[in-house]
This record gives sequence, C-alpha cells and structure tokens, in this order.
Amino acid sequence: MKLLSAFAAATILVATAASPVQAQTGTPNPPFTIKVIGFNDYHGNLQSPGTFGINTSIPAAQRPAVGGAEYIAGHVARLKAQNPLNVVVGAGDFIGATPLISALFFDEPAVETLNHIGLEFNAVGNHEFDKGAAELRRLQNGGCKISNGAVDPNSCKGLGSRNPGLFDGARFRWLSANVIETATGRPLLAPYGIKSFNGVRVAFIGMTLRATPTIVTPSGVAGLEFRDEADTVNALVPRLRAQGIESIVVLVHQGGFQGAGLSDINGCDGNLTNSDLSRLVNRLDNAVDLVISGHTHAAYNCSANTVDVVNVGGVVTSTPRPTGLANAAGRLVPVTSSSAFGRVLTDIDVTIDPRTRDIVAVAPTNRLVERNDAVVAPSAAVAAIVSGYNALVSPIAGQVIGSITGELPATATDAACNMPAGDLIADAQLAATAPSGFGNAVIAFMNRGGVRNPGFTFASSPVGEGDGNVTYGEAFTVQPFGNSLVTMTLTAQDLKNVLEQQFAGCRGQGAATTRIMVPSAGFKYTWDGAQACDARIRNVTLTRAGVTETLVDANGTVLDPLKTFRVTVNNFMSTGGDGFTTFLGGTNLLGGAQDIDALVAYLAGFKAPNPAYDPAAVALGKPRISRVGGTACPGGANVNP
Amino acid sequence: MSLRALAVTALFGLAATCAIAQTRPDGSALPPMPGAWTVRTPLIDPAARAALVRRGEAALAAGDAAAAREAFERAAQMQHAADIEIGIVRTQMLEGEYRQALAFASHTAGAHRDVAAGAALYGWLLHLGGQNAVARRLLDTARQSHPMDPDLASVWSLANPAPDHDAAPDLPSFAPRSFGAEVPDAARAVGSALLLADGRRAIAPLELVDSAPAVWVRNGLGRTVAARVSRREPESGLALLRLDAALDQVSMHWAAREAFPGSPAFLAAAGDGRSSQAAWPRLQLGFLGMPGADGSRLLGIPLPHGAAGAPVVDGQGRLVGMAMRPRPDGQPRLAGVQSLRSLAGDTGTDPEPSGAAVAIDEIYQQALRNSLQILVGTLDRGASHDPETSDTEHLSFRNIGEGAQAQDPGPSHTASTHGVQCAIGSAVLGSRSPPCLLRP
Repeated sequence: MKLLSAFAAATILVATAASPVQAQTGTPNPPFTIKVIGFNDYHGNLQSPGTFGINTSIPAAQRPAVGGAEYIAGHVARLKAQNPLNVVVGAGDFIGATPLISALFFDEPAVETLNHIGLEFNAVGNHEFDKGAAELRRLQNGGCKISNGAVDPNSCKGLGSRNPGLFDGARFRWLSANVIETATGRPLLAPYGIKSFNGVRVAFIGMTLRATPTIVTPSGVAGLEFRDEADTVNALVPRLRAQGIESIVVLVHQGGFQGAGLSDINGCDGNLTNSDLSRLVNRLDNAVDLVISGHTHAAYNCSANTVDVVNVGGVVTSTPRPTGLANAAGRLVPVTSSSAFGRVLTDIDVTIDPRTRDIVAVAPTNRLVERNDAVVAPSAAVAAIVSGYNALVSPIAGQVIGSITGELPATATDAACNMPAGDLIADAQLAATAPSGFGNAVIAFMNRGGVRNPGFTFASSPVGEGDGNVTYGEAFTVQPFGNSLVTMTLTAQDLKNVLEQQFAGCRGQGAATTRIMVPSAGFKYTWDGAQACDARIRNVTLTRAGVTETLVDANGTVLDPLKTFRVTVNNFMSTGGDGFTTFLGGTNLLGGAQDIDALVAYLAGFKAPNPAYDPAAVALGKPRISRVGGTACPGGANVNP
Repeated sequence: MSLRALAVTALFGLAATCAIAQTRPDGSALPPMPGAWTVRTPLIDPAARAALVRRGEAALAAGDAAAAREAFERAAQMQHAADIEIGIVRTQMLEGEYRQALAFASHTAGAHRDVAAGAALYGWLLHLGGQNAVARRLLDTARQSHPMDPDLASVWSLANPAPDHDAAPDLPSFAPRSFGAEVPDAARAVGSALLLADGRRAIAPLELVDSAPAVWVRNGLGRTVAARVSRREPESGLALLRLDAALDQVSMHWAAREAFPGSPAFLAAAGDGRSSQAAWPRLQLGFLGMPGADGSRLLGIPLPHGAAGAPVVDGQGRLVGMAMRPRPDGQPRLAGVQSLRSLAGDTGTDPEPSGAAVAIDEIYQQALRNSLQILVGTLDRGASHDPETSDTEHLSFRNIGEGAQAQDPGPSHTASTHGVQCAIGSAVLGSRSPPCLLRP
C-alpha cells in the first residue's frame, strides 16, 4: 500500500467488499480480500471479564457482557465464516498475570483455549516471560510441568488437549523476532510466520517491547536480549522481500492510549501522540502494511476506519476520520489494538493485489465480543474446557480429611480376598447408615471393583499434606464414582444367597467373573472354592456390641432364614450391579449419602488430634473373610486358584 | 498441501534463515542493546487523572458503583496503572462481581509487581474466597519484595491469623466502606446472618441478637440497614430479623433435605468478627459433621471467630444450614435447612434436588450479598437510618440510655427489651433506663 492515500485505500476497500466472490474463487489477478482477526492481552481470561462499552459514554448498565473463551471462539468462527481466506493473530500477553483458573494450571488452560479459538500467530509479550524462557518453550512445544522431579499435580490436566494427562502445547506459533538468546545469538522463538492466500504469502513479524527486562522478574529474562523493535522489523524487511513477500504485518506487544475523549474502540483520539508505539511506527520501513499492537489494554483503531466520537452537551456523535500513524516515509500505517481480556476482536479486511503481492487496502473494525449476540453461538467445546478447569480450581481437593498409620491397598492381601481399602470404605458406609434415621444398618458390603487403585497411600501426595494424611482428592481417587448409599432389609437367607452369588457361574453371576465383596466390621464368613455353587459359604457371623450371632453355621445351614437385617450397599450394587441381583429383592430401601461423603465423615474421627486409622486395630475385626484352601484371590472363571 | 502446512513449512524454513545475526536493511549491524532502558510512558494529564481517581474513591465511599466504574475506567483509558486497576477491582466488588474482581486482581498483581497493593488485594480476595494455600504463597512471595508495605502486612496477618487473637485486625487501605445507615462507633460485630429472598428479612442465631438494643445488618458490598428481631425460635436457636430497607439478594436454592455428614460444605462468614468495619465475607471450607451426642448436628467445619450465623452451602451452592456457636462440648453446631425453612416460610426458590457442582467463586459471589454482618449496639448521636432507603418510621434520638429523649412527632409506641418496657415517642427515658429497641 506504499503509494495509496487513506482515501484511495477506503475506495479500494469498498470495491473489494462489493466483489467478495473474488476472494473465494481464488482468481489470481484481481485484488482479493483476506480477513485478519486480531486480539491482544488475553491474559488467560477463560471467563468473561464483565461488561464493556464501545466507549465511555455508554452507561454502565447498558454495557453488554463480553468475553469468555467460548464466546471468543464463537465470534472468531463467525468472522472466519465470512471469508475462508483468514488468519487469527495475537499481539502478546496471552499468558501471565492470569486468573487462577489458568494460573493454577501453569497457563495450560489459556493455551488450550487459544488452540481451540484458532489462534495461528502470536507475538510474545512481556508476560510471556513471567516464568522464564524455558517455561515459554514448554507451553509452545507441550509436555508436563515438572516440579521436584515429578509431574506437577496441577499440570497436564489436558482438558483441552488430546487426552487427560497430556498437554499438547500451543498449536499456534509464538513469534519473538527481537528476543535473542545471548548464548546462541538466535531468536528465542520463530521471528515471523507466513501464511499464503491465493498464492500470495503474507508475513507476520512478532515481537515484544524492548523494555520487557525492566518490567518482568530478572529470572524470567535471564540469558535473553531484547532488541529495538523498529530496527528488528526493518532488518527483516529486505529478507522477506528477497523471498518475494511484500505483504507484511507487524504484531507487536507495545501500545499507546488515545487522548482525552470517549476512548471509542474505533477511535484514534490524538493519534496516540508521544506514545512508545507511535515512536516505533515512525521508524518503520515503508514495507510494513499493518501494525497490530497491545500492551496498554487500550482499544484504538488508527486506520481508514477511524471514527471521532465526541459528546457535546450529552449528544454523542461519530464522525469518520481516516488516519493512521506515520511511518519512516511519512505514510500513514493502520495501527490497531483491541483492549484486553478478550473483550474485543479486531476484524481486519486486508486487500491484496496478487500482481504486486502487496497489501493495497486495510479496513479494520474493532468489535465487542458480546455474549448476548444472537447470531454468535459460543463454542461448546471451549465451554466444556472452561467449565472443567473451573471445577478443578476448587481447593477442597487439598483438604486433609483424616490420617492413616500405613498403606491401605485396593488389592487383595490374602487368598480370601480381604482388602484393607475396602474394609475402610465398608466401615465408613456402615457408620454413615447405622444411626437411627440414616438407615439403622448393621452390615455394609463394598464391591471391590468400586475401590480404585492405589487405595489409600501413606506417603504424602504432591500436594504436600504430609505422610499419613489423606486428602479429599486422594479419597476421591479411590472412590470416584459418586455413588450414593442405599440401605435395605435383607433376610439371613438373602445374605447367604448374595454371598454365594460372588462366584463365577453361581446364581446368575457371570461365567468368567468372581467378585468377592468386602464386608464391614463385625461381619465374618468363610468360603471354600472347592465346593459347588450354593455350598461355598459357611460360618457367617455378625458381632454387635460384643455379642456374636451366627447366621450360617459350619455346615452352611442358615439358622433363621427369615430373620431380617438392615444392609447398606452402594446404589450400583443395589440395582444388581456386578451381578448381585439378590440386592434387587431388598425391601424398605432408604437412600443415603454419597459414598465419598460417608468416607469423609468416618475419617474425620481419625483426624488429628484424634489417633490415626490403624488398619491392624483389633477392633476392626480382621480378617473378615476366611477361606478354606487356595493360594490367590480369584477374579475370573476359576473360583478356586 | 494445506495452507496451514505451507505456513508451518515456511515458518520453520525462515526461522532458520533468520537465526543469523540481525542487520539493518542496508546491511549494517544493529546497535548493541543499551545497558539501561528508560520506559517511556504516554503523556497524560496528571491533574485529570488524579481527579478521576478522587472521583472514583468518593463514589466507592458512597456506594455508587456506577459512578466509581465510570471514573476508574476513564482513568484506565489514560494509563495502565495499579492504583486505577485496584479501583476497578474494588468497584467490581461493590457490584457484587467477585469472580470478575478476582480475575482482574490477578492481572493487577501480575502486571504491577512493583506495587505491593496489587498482590495484597489479590491475595486477600483469594484468601477470602477459600483459596488459602494459593493466597499464602502469593503473599509470601510478595512480602519478599515489599517487606515493609503496610497493606501487604495487614493482608498477610489476615491470611495467617494468630490463634486466639481477638484484637481487631488492621484492615488494608482498600478495604470496603460502609454506606447506608450509620452505625454508632461503639457497635460491635457479633456474627453473621442469612438474607432471605425478599431482601427484607434475615435469619440469625437468636443468641446474637436476642438482647441487643439495636441491630444493624450489612452485606458484603458494604450497604448497611437497621433491623429488628421480629420472631424468636428458642428451640432452634434462631431469630428472624426484619430489615428497615431491602437489600439485594442473589437467588439461592435451598437443599431439599438435610445434608449428609461428610459432605463438602462452605461456610460464608460475613466479616471478620473482630471488627465492626465493613468487610467482604470469607469462605471456610470443610466437611459437615456427624450427629452429636445430644442429637444435634455437628458443623464439622472449624468455626472462625465471629462466624456464628454464617450460611452454610453445599458443593452445589444450595443452602444446607447455618453455623451455630459451639455448645459446651466445644463443638460448633449446624442449624439444618429444615429449621431455617420453618422460620423463613417461603424461601423464594424451589428446593433443588440435585445439581451440578458450583465453582467456589460463584459460591463466594453469592455470599457477597446473601451473608450479612450483624452489628449490635445502642443508638447514639450520629446514628441514623438510611435516609434514602429506609421506609420505616423515622425517629431521631439523643443520647439514648443516658437521659436522652426520643423525639418523635408520631404516636407513642412501646418496645420490649430485656423484658423492660421502654417508651418510645413522646416519653422521656430515665437515666437508668435500658436502651430500647428503636422501632415500633
């Protein structure tokens, strides 16, 4: 656009806009338009930063809610749909100084949402260096954050990556033309990116303000040199032109403010006079066609589409005033910025003459990222990422709920299939449902498949709660299903039957599944895998308040088949889950707490200053399951390994 | 090859090319990096900026969020500065927008590390919202850079309270302000209350207000209104308060049944309990306790100083009860949702049988308006009803309780406090008369 005045640029814009088909057909000769979508200073604002007006004359009550990653994605998608020749770019500070929803997870959520928004090129800003160059490289390339030699528990949540446990890294390219590694003399990251449209290549040079070392922690910029912005661009121009590139866009994390006025998002009041940015543009090579800026969080649009908005006596008027900032040749170059935090997107129609490969018109418009725009659908995928991370922010996971004296594995510790973690859970469920009004339960059974690895570990987790302490997060790992407790009335015969139903092929149990339940304290039985179905269970006893009652004798006979007992299981088992259809015959069902709640309540009794839970305590009545013969706890078709 | 693939290919190719030392277009080498760099700031009108900040501060003090926002946002269009951003954050809190305030404060703390107040404010908001571990890390780090900053010191003390320390804390300079009804200096903060859906009534522990001559409630935004006890329920230990003027309430679902022991819960205490100043609420996280030996429900969550009366909500943001002071066994209790419902009558919302987990910042945001700070004391010179919002009969008083005269041109009323009849209206109260409830 070297020889075009602002007026001519506006004229060409109109002509181009009247012939949009040219861009879509890819005809090489006539000028065509591409859409550049720009924004800056996202700062990991996955959630709406609130309301925002197009200028300060808009009363607070009338300002629409704006932003939020899912709406940014929706608005970007809508703009992209208007022109298939498009590119999404940023002017830096997309990470760093971020809300907890991003910061807690090392800004991986910011990067993942930007991936889904479709960002392609982004200049580094000063905040990209808050955690140092190595961390910026990790965010670019992917991989988990390592803390103290292990993956940090808050890294690689992967809600916006290919899989949980992964962090894909940025699918966009951070550009750092003026950030040089002193050790190598090379740019830290790619200095520019190129995208081709109808065979014409457009270059995007990305960089941050030279003063970055003065505004970030020294450790963040150690080993880096930040060079003059204009000099860096001007040095790159001949190289780009040598490759046949004439269309050059600068993405720079440097900005300015409008003068006193209403700060309309499409205004350029005072032409950013005396700002660092205007001084930078004043020195730019004439080959640069467009500058997309940031850093000050101000919105401005100094271009052919600039409007002067004034309030005179309460009447707000808007007057077009095509402008720009003067470059080294005195030509007015369009310069934009879109506020911050995802409130505004800059929608830039750029017209390219394929014969000269150069940009001949630039028409930017700053647009609010309104959340109540009827024609913009928020991205459901991005909304899910935001909502997922929002849930993970809760500090409840790190709360200590109790203490244990040793490991409680979620695996069998003997051939009879006793399981320490299951014992604890069954006891917790009995405790939760024993009181009057909560079920009057006297027995609880836990299905061993519902007790997840690794069980309850004695060693401290990476959260740092200390050895022996159990956090809510750890407990949730063991009981993640959110089952609720169900207390029902069963007869002694039902109890015998459901115990017989544990073995493969018996009473409708799967032919290849043996599932030995874990009973609560006070309940004991013996099984013999060498026997046939319905003949494996014997010596079933229940001890309450020091009194032991025999339900099934040593011969397998149910002594009082119709005697009833209140029994608690989880809702999965109560509906016949794991093949335990006997529970479907339970009567007087009473719903109860969630299994995890019961566990928390029970472990509260073992929280300091109370003594820790000792799995070997005599009062726990272990072993609860005894077996005749056998060497290993069965799980499949073979019931007597 | 796709456009993207082409672009990526070009990108890497050119990146390698540009790894050579930087030069000018004419081939000469770039100048070396200077040893020092002066940050140039845009020209601003300092007087105009200062005037806007003053206007914003005045609006904050008056509880005028719209005016505060207008002033601070205009200032923000002039300069990217910490004090202006802190003004915006405080405005967002005045608007009841905790989540937005927290997000903006995170930026202020991260972007203006040279200004301790940014980290102090962010750390405080995190602490109040239950993110104690994160808050402490942030504050500890900030104190290394700003060991003498008073705001940071006071917030650090708030986030690391000394056990059994009953003295009122020094609040940071950006603490919220009280507006609305004036409260005597001698008034004491005694606990919290729950604002009901109509905005005109609140539930509080009876023991906090039963013998109080005068009661005020204040929400987390700072708006203060006078209140009176309209119903007492000794069995549940709860009282119903009627407010002189309506406060804005955030719709809150009530749990359909009593919460189970062990379920996660959030206690939303209004104020610190040691100071009668306006205060943002604070969340305490924990797990509900088992039934106690006396049949009452144990709260299960440590009860901070002055937090009795705090509404308790579950992980789905549903009201499950109210925190009650410890019994003689030292264990705080939970007044269950059914006892609250029986006192409130119409709760204004249907019980929510189940629901998705609610983010902790949303729970806090709810508490900003729904958790009320209770202040008790006697009306004295300078104390008054909110002149703009009170729709009850206005009385003016002079030195009540010390030979003062209640001046009211209207008909006489009587009120009972401590079982003593107090004349209000044209009667003269004797010098030994106990203070009276001041509403007919």
